[in-house]
Order: sequence, then structure tokens, then C-alpha cells
Amino acid sequence: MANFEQAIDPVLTSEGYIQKYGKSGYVNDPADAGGETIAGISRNNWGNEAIWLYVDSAKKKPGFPASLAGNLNIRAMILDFYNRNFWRPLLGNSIQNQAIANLLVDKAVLEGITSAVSRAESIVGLPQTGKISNILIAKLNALT
Amino acid sequence: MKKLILLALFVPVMAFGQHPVKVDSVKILRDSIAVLNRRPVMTADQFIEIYKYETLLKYYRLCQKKPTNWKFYKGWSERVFENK
Repeated sequence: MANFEQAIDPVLTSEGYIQKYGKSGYVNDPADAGGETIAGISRNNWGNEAIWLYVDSAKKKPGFPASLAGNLNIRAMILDFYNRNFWRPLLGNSIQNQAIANLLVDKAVLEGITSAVSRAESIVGLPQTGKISNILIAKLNALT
Repeated sequence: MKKLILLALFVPVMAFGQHPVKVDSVKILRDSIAVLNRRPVMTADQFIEIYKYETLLKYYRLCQKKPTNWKFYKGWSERVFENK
């Protein structure tokens, strides 16, 4: 069974959140269509996430945005966000191969679940529905 | 040399004739073929490699469609291959 934290760590690194190096993954680039973003979670797309309350609160304190990296509440919320929105919808716990789980999660974060799943379905010879299914999971788990 | 080849061809035939194949052997052979047939066509590693290249192809097509995306292409392609 694949492990959530092992799958999400490389994603967070790609998104600029590296806690041990004090990198919060916070950016606010006006040229970025997603707008203000932390660890890949953009305010424009995920503005209702509670993490933004914490980010806004941290802005009022010194050391922002570096202070976000060491904030355990922020880390818990980031992990919860990816678990809720990507890992669970992908049935990550049912995938046996860690490398396959890592790949699917990363591409789902980057392109969306539908696109990531459709590609996997196509490769294993299933019709492309874009929805994770037990048949797809079984096919993936049958790969040796 | 020719004699050797002929001998090599006929020895199994002769052996087969003297010792008919046992039913157990046929069953083992059938079971082995069934096991081979049940094996997946590709391995997990092959799936991962195909998936990565398909992803890269998608990004390439996205950039072809919308050339302003080329500035992201390097970053996208690096991410395809860096995550294990």
C-alpha cells in the first residue's frame, strides 16, 4: 500500500515547500494566474481553504513569509489539503506501488485528477473516463 | 557435422517415442502457459516510463498550440522526470 507522506513530499518540494530548509513555498507573483500561492495552493483557485486564514494572520507578524515554513498548523493544513483533494480522490491508499502513486498524485496536482487518471487508463488499455475506478486500481496493482 | 545435426534432431524424437509424455507433464506445461498468460503485458517500471513520456508529449502539444507556454516547458519537463 502506498504511503501518503512519501507521495506528497516530492510534490511539496516541487511546489517550493521544504520545511527543513525554511522554505514556505509562499509566492505572490502578479504575473501568476493563480495569484497568491502557498505550497502550490493558490488563493484564486482554493480561496475557501482555511489555510488562508492562517496565512493572513501570519502576515501581521514579523518574519513573514519565512515564518510559514516552521508553522506546524500550516504544515498540517497543507497535508490535509493534498490528502482531501488529491490522495483520497485518487484512492491512493489502494495503490500498491509507491512510485505509481507518487506519479499519479504529482500529475493530478499539476494538471488535475481527470487528466492524470485518463492517461493512466489509456496506458493500461481502459476507456478514458478520467475517473478513478476499482478496475484501474486493479490494473495498476497487477503491474509487477 | 551433418551427422551431428541429424543426431540432435532425432534423439529427442526417439526419446519421446520410448517415453511417452506423462499426463502430469502436460498439466504442468498447461499450468505454466496459464501463468504466463496471466502475467501483465507491462511492468510497473514500463508503465511509469510510458506515463512520463505521454505527459511530456502532452506538454509539448500544449506549447505548440499556445507558444507563450514555451517558457514553462523546461520546468514542466524537469518535473516530469525528477519525481520518483
